[in-house]
Amino acid sequence: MPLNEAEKQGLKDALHKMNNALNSISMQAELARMYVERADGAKVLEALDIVMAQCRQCSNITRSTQQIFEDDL
Amino acid sequence: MARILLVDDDADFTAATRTLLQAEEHDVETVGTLAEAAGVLDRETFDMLFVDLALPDGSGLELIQDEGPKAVIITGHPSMESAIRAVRGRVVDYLVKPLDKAQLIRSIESVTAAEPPEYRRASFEAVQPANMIGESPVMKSLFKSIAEYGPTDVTILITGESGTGKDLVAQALHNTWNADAQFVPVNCGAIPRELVASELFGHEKGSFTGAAAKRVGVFERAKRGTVFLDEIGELPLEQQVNLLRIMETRSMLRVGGEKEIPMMARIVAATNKDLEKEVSDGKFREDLFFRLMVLPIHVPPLRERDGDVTLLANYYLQQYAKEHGTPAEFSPNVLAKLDRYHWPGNVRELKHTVLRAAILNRGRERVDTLPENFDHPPRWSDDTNSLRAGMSIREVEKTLIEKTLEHFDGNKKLTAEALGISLKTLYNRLCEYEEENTV
Repeated sequence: MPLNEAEKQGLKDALHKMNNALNSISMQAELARMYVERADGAKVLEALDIVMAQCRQCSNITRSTQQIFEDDL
Repeated sequence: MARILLVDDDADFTAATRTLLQAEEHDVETVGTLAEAAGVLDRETFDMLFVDLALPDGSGLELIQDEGPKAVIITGHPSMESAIRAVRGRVVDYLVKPLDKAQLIRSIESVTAAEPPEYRRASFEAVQPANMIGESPVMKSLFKSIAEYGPTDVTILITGESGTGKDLVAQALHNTWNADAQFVPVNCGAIPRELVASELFGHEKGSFTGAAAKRVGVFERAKRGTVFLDEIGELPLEQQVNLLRIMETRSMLRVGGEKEIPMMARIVAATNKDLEKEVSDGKFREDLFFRLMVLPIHVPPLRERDGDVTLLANYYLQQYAKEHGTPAEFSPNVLAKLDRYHWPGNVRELKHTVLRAAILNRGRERVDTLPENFDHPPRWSDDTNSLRAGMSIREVEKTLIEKTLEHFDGNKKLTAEALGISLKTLYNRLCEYEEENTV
């Protein structure tokens, strides 16, 4: 079944959000590495918390995207 | 230290990036919308912008002004339209999410390195690369671009018709960047398809039949120099993806290798093809096109270079006079004829015409006559030996060599020069043809 306009827009938004989340993960991981090098454990944990939150967000987005295609999968 | 404005609506990303760049001693301010960015830009000055294309209240491209700071575009979804619009402004790089710290640092360094001290900036107009000749306004503008883009390590795409001197521009860019390092030219169209990967990236011993020893590719050979990828439009699609990967990660694998090797060279590419059309025809990767189009330089055809025909013709004539004892001066009539012609083969055609004229007028005080029909080169399609479908490459090469030799009245030096091959290669080919004929 081809996607209708609303579904297309929904998919586009979801991909945009996921892209941003992955970008954020990439930079927060860089930050965590920097704090590890500086032996600043508290800051490392702070960065990792954000990485985990972003990973959860990506997971949610993937799940809701799957729902759009549920019938086809 | 650079003063940077980062415009992106993702707070986690901007916070992390600000901290990382501050650790590198850069002064970073972050905002999340177009409106906020416009306000900050009104009040303060920055060395550069990192701008997300998709902001909640519009496109980040709106922040890029001719007089404003240099900009790096950040995007999660590149599109042809945005890339083409982007390269017209003060955009120095184009980064696709997800980013990493090394990419950001490289972009900042390209801007800070490109900003010359005031005394040098004032002389941009007058800078003329030592290996290039031209006084026309279009060439002055080209020299300015070379002086501006040369000292950065940003990838540059040189476009222009055949014979305009794109290789000289590449060499001039290299000279202004790192003249002591290696300049490694590669003609992507001249490498057999199956050897492209090995030539560019190198190979490990035994990685394929015939790989008897380890071979270092051009990127490794260039070290911190320049790799000049001429005729980039001819690069096979399957190698385009590898080139893109190298440009994005700045590292590579030799064919059959497992160890990542850092890529430190700067890439300058050139083409006489319309790459945008190649992209729409599916012959060139869109993502590689974006990467290459960050800093395009166009080399104008000779017919658009007002006054340069005379300048170049006199230069080549005097060079030949020193080498061959031919006349060192043109008659005004001949110069006027040269100036009127439209030179479809550009500087290369002019150079060959001058050389033929010099030889034709040997023993005279000046060049009074031009080779017959110099402005109407013979059309081989009228000939019975013309190119036709079904000919092998070898037959085409043989025909081309024979016809060029005939055109230059048997002069092998001129023939080799016109064909862009060494005299030795020409002799080798002629010997082969002779052997074939004997058999």
